[in-house]
Amino acid sequence: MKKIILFLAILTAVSCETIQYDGETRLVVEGKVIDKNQNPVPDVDIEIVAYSNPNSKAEDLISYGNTDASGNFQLIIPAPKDTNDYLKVIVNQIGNGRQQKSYNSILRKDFSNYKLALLPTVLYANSDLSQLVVNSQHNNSNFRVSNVRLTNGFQSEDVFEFNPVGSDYIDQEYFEYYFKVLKNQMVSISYKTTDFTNPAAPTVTEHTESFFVNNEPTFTYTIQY
Amino acid sequence: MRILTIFIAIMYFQPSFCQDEVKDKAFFVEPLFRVHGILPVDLGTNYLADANKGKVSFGINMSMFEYHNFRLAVGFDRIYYDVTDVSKAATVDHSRYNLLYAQILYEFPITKNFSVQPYVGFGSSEINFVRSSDTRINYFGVEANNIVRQRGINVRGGFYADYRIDKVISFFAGVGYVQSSLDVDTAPEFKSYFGEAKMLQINLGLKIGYSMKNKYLKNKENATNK
Repeated sequence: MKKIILFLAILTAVSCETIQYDGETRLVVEGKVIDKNQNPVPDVDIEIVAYSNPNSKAEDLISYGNTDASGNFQLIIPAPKDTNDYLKVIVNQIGNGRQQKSYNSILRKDFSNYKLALLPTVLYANSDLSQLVVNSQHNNSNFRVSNVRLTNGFQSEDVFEFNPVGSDYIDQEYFEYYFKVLKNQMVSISYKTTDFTNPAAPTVTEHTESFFVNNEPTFTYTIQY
Repeated sequence: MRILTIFIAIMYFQPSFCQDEVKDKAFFVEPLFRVHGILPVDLGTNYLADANKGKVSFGINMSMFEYHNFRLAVGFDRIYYDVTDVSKAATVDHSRYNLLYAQILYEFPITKNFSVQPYVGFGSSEINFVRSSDTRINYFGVEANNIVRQRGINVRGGFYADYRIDKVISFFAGVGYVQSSLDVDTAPEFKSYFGEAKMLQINLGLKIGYSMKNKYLKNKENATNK
């Protein structure tokens, strides 16, 4: 009997995430999918999922569809009753050799007059893209690198967060930073170094470096400091 | 309880009133039920017409009184829809369009057994968007409510053509127009799309009820002949 109660308690805890929808509020999500030459991409699958907890993988598929001959899509869904529930728009879940993109953490406040018009989504072929990994090598343990960002070059990230959860990614110090960029191009990154030699008055310096991303699927660049 | 007793008593004594009163009688207590199939023909460019396909469904209504050939009836229609366009309807398995209404009918007797009854009415509307476990495709087991509702009001107009086959049962066919105005908040260009439903209903069904009026008229006719 105790085992059954324990099992039911675990089951309840696992399935406690509930998304309620409001049939009298309809949200419109629309956008356009194009390729690298700005041509419309038809028949790309689009999905909208709802979720209440960004740290959980529990999601409810609330709508799906395809882009039309002009690359346009429009999906209409009942709004989650809780305005703090998130929506995610997934473009090209199937893949077919092209990039999959995802617009995450969309909240009701991101809609204007019940409509969210996404900017045109550029789907690059996977073979056109390289995963740029930027890491750092310590030459002086008093220095820290942070706020690494791509300042020049064609970038096409897989995921875009409307409402990033937690602290800002770029202001944190990470061991590695990842960027999805086009192959065979010059790119520039900027970053900050903070000198903690005098911990009471750390000094921050801004740097910019440029380099060429080659034809490899993954390209690693190391910041020396 | 007292009201119910009085009501039953009135119904019980109704035949004897009919026999006693030779003067024209206008008011009849006459319980009458209609059970009918509904073939929905959705009109216009709106959610039900555009993103769904209506199925043959059913309705019922009943009336208790007749006064100068007028009847007041209350009824309920439930019309089922299958979703045909998920991009507009979301991952809904099927919808139920529920119409609760009151209507006023007027009876035009054409022959002894055949009559036509035009009607007008109004009531409340509700669409239930039903998500079955198959359509709630949860990637990782999130729970979602299985019925989402949209409410509104409706007006209706049409007619029934009744053919009496015996003292109690009549066949009837009918054509009616029902228009609902539904509550919705959405982008301006979709207000009427989700906020309106227009339908032509084709009805076929049975009317069940003993006609006190016919009995009264027959008695009156007999009395006149004597």
